[in-house]
Amino acid sequence: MSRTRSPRWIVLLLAAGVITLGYVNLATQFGDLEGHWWQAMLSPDDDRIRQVVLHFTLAPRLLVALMGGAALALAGCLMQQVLRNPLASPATLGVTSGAQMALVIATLWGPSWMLAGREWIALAGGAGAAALVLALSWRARLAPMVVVLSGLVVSLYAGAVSSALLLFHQQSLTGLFIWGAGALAQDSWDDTRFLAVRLGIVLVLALLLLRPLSLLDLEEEGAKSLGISMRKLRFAALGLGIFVTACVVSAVGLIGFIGLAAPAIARLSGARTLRQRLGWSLPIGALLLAVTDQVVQALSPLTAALLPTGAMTAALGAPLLLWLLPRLSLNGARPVTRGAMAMPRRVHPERRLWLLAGVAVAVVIVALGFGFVLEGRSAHPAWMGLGDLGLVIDWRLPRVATAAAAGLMLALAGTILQRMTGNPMASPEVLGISAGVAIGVIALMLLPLGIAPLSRSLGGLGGAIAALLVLIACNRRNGFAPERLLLTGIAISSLLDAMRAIVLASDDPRAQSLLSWLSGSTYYASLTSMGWIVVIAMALLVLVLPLQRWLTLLPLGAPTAKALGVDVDRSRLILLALVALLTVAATLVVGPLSFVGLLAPHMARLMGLNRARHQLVGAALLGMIVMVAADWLGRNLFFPYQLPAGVVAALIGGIYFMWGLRRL
Amino acid sequence: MPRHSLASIAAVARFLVLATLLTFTTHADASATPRIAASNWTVAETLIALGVTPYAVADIPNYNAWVAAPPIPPATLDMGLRNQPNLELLAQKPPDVLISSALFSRDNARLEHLMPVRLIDNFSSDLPYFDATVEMTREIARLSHTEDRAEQLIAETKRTLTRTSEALAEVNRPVYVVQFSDPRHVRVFGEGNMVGTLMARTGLDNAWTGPTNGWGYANVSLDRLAETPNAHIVVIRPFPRSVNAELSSNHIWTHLPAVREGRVSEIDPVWIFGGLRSIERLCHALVGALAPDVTLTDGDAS
Repeated sequence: MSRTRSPRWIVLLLAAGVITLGYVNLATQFGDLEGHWWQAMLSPDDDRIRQVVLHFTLAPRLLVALMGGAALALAGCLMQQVLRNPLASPATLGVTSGAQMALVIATLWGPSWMLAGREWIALAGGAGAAALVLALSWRARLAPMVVVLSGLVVSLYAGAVSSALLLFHQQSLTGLFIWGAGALAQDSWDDTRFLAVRLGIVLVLALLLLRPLSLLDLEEEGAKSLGISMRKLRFAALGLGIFVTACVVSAVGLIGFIGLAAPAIARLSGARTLRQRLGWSLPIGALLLAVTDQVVQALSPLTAALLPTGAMTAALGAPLLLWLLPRLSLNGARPVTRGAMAMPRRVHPERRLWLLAGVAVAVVIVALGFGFVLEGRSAHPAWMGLGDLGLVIDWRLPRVATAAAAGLMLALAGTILQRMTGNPMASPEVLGISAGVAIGVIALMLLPLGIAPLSRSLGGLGGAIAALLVLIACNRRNGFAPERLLLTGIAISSLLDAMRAIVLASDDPRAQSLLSWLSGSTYYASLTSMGWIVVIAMALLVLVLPLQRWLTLLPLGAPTAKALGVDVDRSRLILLALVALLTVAATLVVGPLSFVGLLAPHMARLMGLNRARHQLVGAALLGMIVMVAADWLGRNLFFPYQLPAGVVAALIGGIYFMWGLRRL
Repeated sequence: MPRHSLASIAAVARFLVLATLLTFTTHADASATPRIAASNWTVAETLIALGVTPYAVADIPNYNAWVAAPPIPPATLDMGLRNQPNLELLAQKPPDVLISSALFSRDNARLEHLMPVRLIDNFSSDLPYFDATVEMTREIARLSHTEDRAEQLIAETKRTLTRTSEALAEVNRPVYVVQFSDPRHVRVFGEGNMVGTLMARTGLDNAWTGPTNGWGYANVSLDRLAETPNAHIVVIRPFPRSVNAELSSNHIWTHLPAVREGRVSEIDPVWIFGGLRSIERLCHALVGALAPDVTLTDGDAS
């Protein structure tokens, strides 16, 4: 990269885009007011609604877009500087999704808090999520990868909680979907003032911190010797970033990627010092969001659906992240895996496996036998009698067996990934293959009205293959290095998030069925489909078990494995293909959201099952136990209403994950 | 067919007896009518309007909020979410038939093991909305042996529509029929649902002429309601949470000509995708909102 380059041309290009599109939109939407534009913008005639509309929508919307973009860019800059992590941003730290969850909860159960100040609720949620992410990655000394992965998991968890709530309140919460996807429509100057004041204050404070923050570019020791309290400085800067993000989230909803993209673009196009990065990221972020919003406005008269700007930026941002990855230097330490990889070896792992098998059998018996029994007009929980065997076989067995098979496959996929990458936080969910399957299904769903189950699995397979191709294309050159692989997965997952938000905000009645599928329900399992999925799971299990030699050697690192005679590239590719197959089969059943692929291998290791074979079998049993239990809870907690097994598993798994991460 | 007309007379007689009995007893004699489960609220509404107590209906709490009337009889079971009726529950004592709709159903072959499944709704046919709804009502009536009651209901609805048309003859403003989705966005209803039907069958003009989706509405930001400045705005309750509190500080809303000049009416929940009873309820609500001086006599023939 030449040193004379500067972000100036990017800013000019974006500014030209905003001005052109802005003029086109003004002329098409308010052509009738031509000649009165300035007057309407500044002091509209109260009796002329068109002038009032222009006054309260056009300029405020543009200003909110500019300020929101700038605020997120500022937050991203501060976070990246404090954490010395080019991938830190409000979204990757979980701040935005934490803020969203807090607002969803407040809307449902404490509407009066909302009136007291949305930004404080959003701030509490955002700060809570960020604190969680930092706590989770504290042991790994905030290594960039670990921070981003923790952020992803915290976001997924917050997403699962929101999904579970929305499943039951969809009709009355349409508005939350719109807001959740980041709609910038304005109806007053309130948000403009709101953001202007807060952005102004944060900007001044940030400028005050600029000089000491720049010293973070030096070695930490050097900064310390200059007499700066590093802890206070970091805390202050991070707090500012989180606060300004919470303000944006509470004003206009979730806006993806600007906080990550703007500083990254500034850095890549030549901004080097913190002062330069800050100076250029702000206009870049502001203009990026404004351009996206102008495009959305230009498109909106053409469709009955609502196009949310925030989700659109996220959809555009995912490819951008893929493009950025090879260009960013991730100089942080590799995740510290020693603690988790080398648990004390038990003397009798077999005994533990038998114990697990016993638990699995018990869980299956409960899941099959215990449920709600209809008596007269009401149902109450009870054991099924032998006379109801037909009912159990027809309606419970398929769901239990399907959940078990899906749990088993996800657990195998997770075990392979974790051993292969040497990273205990890897999982099919994180790798983005689950997301690829879901993207394929959503794409199909949007096409015709009625869809056959067959086309759904084809769409899912197509999506998974596409995700796999992206993974291979982006990672082949560096031999499927773990970090890049996982970051590619994160980019794919965020694309799914964006698509989901767009579909849900479109207010299409089909969104409900999409939501329930995305949440992973075994509802549609039948004896036939159960037969297939069990056979597939068994076949893949048989394929995976003999690969334990690779899985034993690969965690030792590529050079060691190579020295011991493993063709590293080929073995990784084959394992990756197996992971893809396992994930497709499982995701089509339980959706992309469960944490089972993450938590089953992890739990197996915590139980002392360290050898590849033991870990595979133990994780498989644990995956089955968790999934079957989740399915049973989902079927019975709110009978006759059913929570999807995937969401229940995510809720259980997320809590386990956060507890277990202390050991990471 | 003479047998058919005999049966009809018997059915009418039974209906009349039942109607009187119903006022005194809580549950009707259900042995004659099959036990029907409805996963679609429109079907549930139609069944109840036909005097049939559905065996089971999906998502009753939300029905009460969004469809509101006619109320679900207390004897009816709640069978869970609309797109995922609880099969464990249904399997224990299957209904004689499950009526589902294209939107909520997948792999019905599997459900057929449990009970016959019929796909009946008023949105996935090629007919215009009103004709489709009439057709749907007749089909439900055939299943529940209430054909005569259905013809009465259809006639009632047509009479109500005619009277609504007369009552609204003086209204010369176009009307937006909207439902808030958040403080800044509304669903505005157009062609292809009961709002469209009503506009077509009365002299009323729909102020919304923009594109609509497959269910006949568009989700738009509030300022688009200014595109027809002289319009009257009819807002269907319920409001989503927090909208009521925020509307007064919404400058677009407060400046809309309709709002400034007091041409906004709120009406009770009406299920816009619903059946004939919902159409009648919308008629009454619109007459109440747009021509409050006119009293719309009940469409009932009595």
